[in-house]
Amino acid sequence: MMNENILTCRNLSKNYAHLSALSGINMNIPRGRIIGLLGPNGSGKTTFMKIANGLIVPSEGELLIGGHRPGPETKKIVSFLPATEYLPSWMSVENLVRFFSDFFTDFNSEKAKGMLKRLDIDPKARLKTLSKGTKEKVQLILAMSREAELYLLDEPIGGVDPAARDYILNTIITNYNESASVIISTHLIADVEKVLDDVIFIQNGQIQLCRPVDEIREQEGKSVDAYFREVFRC
Amino acid sequence: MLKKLISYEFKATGRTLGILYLALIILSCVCRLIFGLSAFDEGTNFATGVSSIILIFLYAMLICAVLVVTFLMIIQRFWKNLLQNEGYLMNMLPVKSWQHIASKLLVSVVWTFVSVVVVFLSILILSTLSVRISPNFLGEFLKDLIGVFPRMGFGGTYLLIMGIVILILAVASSILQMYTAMSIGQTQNRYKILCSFAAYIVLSIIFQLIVSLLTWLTGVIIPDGLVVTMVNTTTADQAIYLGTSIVAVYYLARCAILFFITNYCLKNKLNLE
Repeated sequence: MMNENILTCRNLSKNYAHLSALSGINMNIPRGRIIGLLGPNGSGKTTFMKIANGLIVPSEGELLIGGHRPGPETKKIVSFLPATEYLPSWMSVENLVRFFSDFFTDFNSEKAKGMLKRLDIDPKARLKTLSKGTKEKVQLILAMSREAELYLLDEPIGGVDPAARDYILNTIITNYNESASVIISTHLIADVEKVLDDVIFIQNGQIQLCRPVDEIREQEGKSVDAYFREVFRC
Repeated sequence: MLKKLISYEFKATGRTLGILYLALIILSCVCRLIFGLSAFDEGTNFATGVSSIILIFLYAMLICAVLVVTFLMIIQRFWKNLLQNEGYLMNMLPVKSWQHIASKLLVSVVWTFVSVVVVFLSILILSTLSVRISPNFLGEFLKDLIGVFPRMGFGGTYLLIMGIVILILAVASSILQMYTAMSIGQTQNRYKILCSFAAYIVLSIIFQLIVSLLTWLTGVIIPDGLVVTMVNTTTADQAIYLGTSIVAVYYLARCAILFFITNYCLKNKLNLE
């Protein structure tokens, strides 16, 4: 039975000694939507994604993906792109393609190789010899070559030049399958808003609002970026 | 999945360790050849003196390097690959945490034994400098050494086999204790490394206490009279069975406990930065 929502969380909280990274997050992410998780730095976006991938445990509450807690069953259907450099730098690009292909049954190596070729990335190059921007492109290509049910992209365009940003966003919307959902977390809203269906504004670990992009544009009469600045005015 | 993890683990560690081990063997052969030159037979002069010192120094350094690098590699593969940035990748895989632990443990145990064998081999190569030690001699020596065991009766063969099993379990439990300490340390938000060291010390103390308790308990359970009759050869087999079995069970239990704790931490208390 296909659940309506691919990801649900109830009262999700993560507390550290000196701060509360997330508090009382309630969320239902339907299938087939591209959602922007938008918020200033330190608002809890990365914490949320880490919990969804089982990399940290919540202090309270529950997060379910496809009805399961984060674990091997959810990792099979979730493609996560962390914000940091996380791939072993001694491996070559083609080693990594083979690695992903070995461990993820939904990984499409032909698609990955095609994207690498189009970006002129030498498959035999070791990661440590590539520039930061190229490494980020490799990370993104690997994440988007999975035919996952949920993509969690943490700051996918953060350190990349504007032309590459357009390429990356284009890759995201042309490469994911329509029954899958994508959550893009970022603070670079103007670049990303054209691909989004819905936005969730998050600040200080709490959700401020959750609305479809079209509704914001119609009812507020402004772009999501402008609306964001208004909501989060310092 | 486990096979893939093991194969990946060997690929990640094989090149560095392989080169190092090969370098030691090559240096041993070089030393063997140079020291075997007739120039060294005629007492020392400046040239032979200096080259001796340099070669011996290099050789000693390389032996240390082999053992230290193997040890550091074992720790680093767990700490860096599972619990630092690369941990994002490894923990993203649809793989159970016990499989991560098992694959790293297996590969680490293999490398530990290989490193010791390599050091032995290198010493063996140098030992052939002595006219009395030839490959034939070594072959005979090994055969005699191993042959001692069957001659003790079935108990002797059992001792040999159990000895090897206990050795493997002991190495595995030492490595596992480091894994457990690291996985406990990573649960903390601050001072992860310090906590790992503390956890290791606490675990060591606990197991020391357990061994002391077991030793005392064995002394209490087995009355002195029985110990005396155990010296009698007809019950020597039973003594060997009992002794080795207790030790084997201890190491097995220790491995199981440490594995359980490590798995629990990685599965339920993962705290990647």
